[in-house]
Amino acid sequence: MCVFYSRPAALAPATAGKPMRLCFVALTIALLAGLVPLGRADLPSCLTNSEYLLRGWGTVDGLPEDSATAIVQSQDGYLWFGTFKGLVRYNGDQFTVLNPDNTPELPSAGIVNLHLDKRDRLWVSTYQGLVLREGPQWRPLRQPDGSPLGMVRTFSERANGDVLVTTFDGKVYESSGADLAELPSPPGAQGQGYLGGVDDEGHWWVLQHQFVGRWETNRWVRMLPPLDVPDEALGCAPARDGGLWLLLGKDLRKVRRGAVVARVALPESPGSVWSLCEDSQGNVWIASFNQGFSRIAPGGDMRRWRIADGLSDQGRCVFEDRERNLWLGTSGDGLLRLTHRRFQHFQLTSTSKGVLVHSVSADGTGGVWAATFGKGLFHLNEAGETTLPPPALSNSSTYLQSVLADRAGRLYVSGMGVGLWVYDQTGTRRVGQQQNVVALFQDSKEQVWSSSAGGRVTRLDASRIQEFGSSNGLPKDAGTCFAEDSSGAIWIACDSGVFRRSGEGPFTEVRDPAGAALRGVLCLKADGEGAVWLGSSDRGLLRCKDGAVAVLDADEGLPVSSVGGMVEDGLGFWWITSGPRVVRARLQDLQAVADRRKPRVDCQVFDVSDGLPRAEFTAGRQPTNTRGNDGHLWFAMTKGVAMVDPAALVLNDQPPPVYVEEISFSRPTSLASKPSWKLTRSCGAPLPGPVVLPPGSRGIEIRYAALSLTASEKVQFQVKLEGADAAWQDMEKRRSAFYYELPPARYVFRVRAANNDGVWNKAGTSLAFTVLPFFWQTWWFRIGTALLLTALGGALVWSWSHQRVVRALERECLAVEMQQLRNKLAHSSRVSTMGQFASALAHELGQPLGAILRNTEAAELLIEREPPDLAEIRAILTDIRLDDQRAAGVIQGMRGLLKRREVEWAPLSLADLVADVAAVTRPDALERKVHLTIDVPADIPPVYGDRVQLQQVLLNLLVNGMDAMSQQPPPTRRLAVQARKTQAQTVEVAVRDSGPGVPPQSLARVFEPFYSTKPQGMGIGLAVSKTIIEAHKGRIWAENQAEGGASFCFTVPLAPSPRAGEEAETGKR
Amino acid sequence: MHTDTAQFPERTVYIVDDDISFLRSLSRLLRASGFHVVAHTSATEFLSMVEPGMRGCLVTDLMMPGMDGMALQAALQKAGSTLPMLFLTGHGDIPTTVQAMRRGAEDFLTKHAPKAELIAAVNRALARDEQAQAEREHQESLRRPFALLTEREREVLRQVVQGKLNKQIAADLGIHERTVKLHRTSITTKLQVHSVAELTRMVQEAGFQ
Repeated sequence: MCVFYSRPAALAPATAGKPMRLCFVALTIALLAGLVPLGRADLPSCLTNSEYLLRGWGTVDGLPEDSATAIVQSQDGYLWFGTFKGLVRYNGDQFTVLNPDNTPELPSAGIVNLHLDKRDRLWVSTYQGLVLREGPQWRPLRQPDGSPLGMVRTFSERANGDVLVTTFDGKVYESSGADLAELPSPPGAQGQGYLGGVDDEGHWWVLQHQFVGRWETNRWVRMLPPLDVPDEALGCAPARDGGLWLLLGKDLRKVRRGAVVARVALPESPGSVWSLCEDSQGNVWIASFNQGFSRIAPGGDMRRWRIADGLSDQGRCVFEDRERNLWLGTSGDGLLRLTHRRFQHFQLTSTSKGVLVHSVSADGTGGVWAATFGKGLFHLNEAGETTLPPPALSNSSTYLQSVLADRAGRLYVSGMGVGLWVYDQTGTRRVGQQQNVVALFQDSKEQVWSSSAGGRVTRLDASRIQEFGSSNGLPKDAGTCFAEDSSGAIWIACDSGVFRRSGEGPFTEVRDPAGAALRGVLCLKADGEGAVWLGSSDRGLLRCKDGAVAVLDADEGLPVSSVGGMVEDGLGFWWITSGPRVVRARLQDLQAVADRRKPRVDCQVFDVSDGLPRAEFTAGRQPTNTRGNDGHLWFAMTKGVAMVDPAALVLNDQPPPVYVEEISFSRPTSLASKPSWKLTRSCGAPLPGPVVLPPGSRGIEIRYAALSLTASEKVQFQVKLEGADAAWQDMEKRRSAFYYELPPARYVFRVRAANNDGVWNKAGTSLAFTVLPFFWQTWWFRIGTALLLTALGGALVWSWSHQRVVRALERECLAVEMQQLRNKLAHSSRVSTMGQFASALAHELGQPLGAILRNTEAAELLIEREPPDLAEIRAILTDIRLDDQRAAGVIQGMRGLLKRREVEWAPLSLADLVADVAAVTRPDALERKVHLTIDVPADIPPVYGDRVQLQQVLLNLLVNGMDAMSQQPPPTRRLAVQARKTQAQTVEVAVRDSGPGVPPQSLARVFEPFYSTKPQGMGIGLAVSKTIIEAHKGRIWAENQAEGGASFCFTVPLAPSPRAGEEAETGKR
Repeated sequence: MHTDTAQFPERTVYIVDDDISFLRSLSRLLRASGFHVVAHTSATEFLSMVEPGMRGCLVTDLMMPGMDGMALQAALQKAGSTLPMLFLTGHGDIPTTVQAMRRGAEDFLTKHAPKAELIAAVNRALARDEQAQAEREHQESLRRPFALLTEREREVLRQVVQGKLNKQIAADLGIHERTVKLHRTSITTKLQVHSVAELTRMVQEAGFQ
């Protein structure tokens, strides 16, 4: 019990009272509906909360008109309400408007009244008559003479399903089954309407100021004498227990078994009554068309909400849906919804900006201390809040960091620049030298730990202050929070990691299994079972237990990745704050997931739709949350303080009904435009099946809805397309699935949903549809094609085997011919290659010829001189002879290449072979600006083959490489010939270019005859090379080099060693 | 005009060709025809001894390994050399020829071109070198007298050729009008001219700034 402060009495009474409460609804509207509160600049500084959250819809949200004349919920979960411009169906996300334009069965768009009977039939009263909707069918209900019914004032229904209909013009009809029968007019004022009702014994009741009575067998029996109140003050509604509520002016009574079982005298008139409704908590709601909405609690307490309170003066109806949301219909102010508020919010200031609260701590009196940043210290209780300027702090700082009310009744307060202060019975004093203490924690030995932003950690007990620092194993950076595990060890989270102190020893760092420091820990909490839970700024929750660290993140179903605070509610649940949200999960569940005994955490997420402000939970201080001795949880937030009573929490346990509402697709040609076809679920009916999509359907979109109306923005979806998906896909809040293209098949689309509190409708719903194949995608076409191909193949095989004998005979001759043909082909390839060498030849021959010419001319001049320089002339003649021989050599070399000849096998020096070809190629390379390098090690042993043919192959590959580089910039044109001996008694020769490489799909084909990637190529060169190399029992292949360019390689066998060579020669002969 | 003998025997003909045999034969022919010949087997070798103001002409093979004729031409132009060039090629390659001519090649001959044509081309190149040299010298001679002027006299001269009156010049330069007159007298004396018109022409020809 705290006795050391006195509550400023003047502030407390002003905070309580009814007018205030009404304002809070208005504030709620401003916060939740995004409306700007008008004329509310002078809100009181104390703000308690109503028990409801309000949300409104109007024409801007898709309503045809700002009215809701009557509201019902059909058994499939859709909400229906009438407006003066159409009947509206609401799926939690979208409004679907039915009017005579799209529903000709509706006689008028003006909907006066609605009723849903026990057989799920919707009775719709319009300006122009009554219609009944059964499933997808509409049926008009007329007077017995066939004329349309007048506008319906009330519908009442007996337990057996009979319906009583009263109209504004004073008529009373009864329906038992199909048609309407008019009852005799009750003996009231003629031409004035009656209110209808039914009691628990099944008697019809009618109310009018002149006559209140009931229908017994075949006559009206007066139950009350004529009333002295006007018709506008009367009301009638069924009670939840089967009785009948009667409102007669200020007199509200419940009739049951023929007697008045409850009676409330209203403190004031509810105004001109339109309708009555009893909610599931026993409150009677009165909708008045000039005084708004009133609520009469079972105890008789009456509340009224009007336009000034953010609701409406023109009430029409009240309806409670299955999820206990209250829907209010108005004439002119649209559709309103009241949901039960879970969190209370204390803003602490009158401005909407709010004040940043760093820390909250419950004292033993049921109240809570709140340390604000800028407004000093507050003490709150459920009724409101009281400020208490701390005597020692009042003149120094209102910028507080942390507050802790310890179990001994002391209050610790720290602020920016004022150090740490303690209040207790003996007075106020400063303790320690710390500035800016951000974390305060009391351990089980009643010692108080504190940590300052400057990195100083101290422990206070009754007698002394002990300071901890690097000598105790702590880092220099600031600690943000403390915890004590079940062994009594103290944990501290610092910026650089988490440290633990067992007994009186030093602090030792706790690391994760990988040995990394646990950085970014915002909060710590021990679970009393040996584990300490760490709230991380980006990795979710971490549990340290017995040296192991388990991570709970999105993969484990924890919907937040940043955890700023944790508090236990005494009911087995942990409340985990993260940004603007708080997650509630059972500790056992968290432990099971951390132990990997369970894959995912089951939890609820609370946010602004539960009454939290548009603000974030404070993190990085301690304590930021607290549990009062009444069990209420309090949270410090960036705007004020939030409070929740966990014991009073009622979860929405209604699994939401799920429906596929629409499937649409586009034609292949018109994907960009609007869907070319659409199948929409007509209200209340399943999609007409079977759904068959034509061949080539694309852009298939399936829209679905889950009818949870409490916080539809929190509804989660999962879908699975059987036939395409192996597992459920998380759709989060998306209400449609899109498939760009589906192969022809039969599919089943399944969808399931969870409501705002994470309760899943596991069964969900499904839609089977078929995408038809094109004829070439059909099985019969494919089988037919396969059969045809098989038959063709069979025929071919037969013909081949038939001719095999013939061929075997011909083969011998053919082999000879083939060889000749191959030689011819090699020749023609050579010739075409040589064509490309024409210019190089000219150069090669031009040099010696030009030199001969110039030498001759010089000699002619010299010979004319007196005396002739004979020595020089002799030198000239020598040069001429040499040049002539050179030219002859060139021609000889060309002849060798051009000649068609028989194959001559011999051991060959590869170096010579390559040099010869390089000599022929070099002029061409020069002209094409290709840098040619030859790398043939001198120790390569001789190879065995035909010189000319191998030269031919090399030449082909070199020309090929040069051709490949013709589009490269000249400095990058590099061609290399490399040779090496392989393990397998062969020599591998590689010709590497720096060209663009061979397209991967062509790699395998380049050696096929007449396959060419060159524009002017014949496709012979490489094919001939392959023929030659294979004749040499070698291998030829192409590959692309990692550094770019292509590499053509071939192998040729080594020549046998001289001795072995002789044997081979001998063997040949 | 003799077309088969050297007209400028004192001028050097530089020859670059990678084919030593051809290089030797061409050197022999040109020497026998009376030219002073220096032969190089590669473009880079030749470039290493190029210096500004080098006289003569260059006969080079178009196709050489490493730096070819066209690259050599570009390198010479970049180095500021005005040496006339003559290209030789084993066979006429029209696009290359056009390109080389456009870039200022003096001539383009095949290696089998008749001797007379070759000698004439070398003579033309050397003649052009002479002409270019003469032009350079003329410019220099025109410019020489201007070197005698003082800085102040140059300033006055610039204003005079713009047609300004002595009064204006005096005002612009902040000196007395009489001083301007003294400067003008000194200028005409040093440049040996007798009228402003003559002075202006001389300034333009010499490209005086």
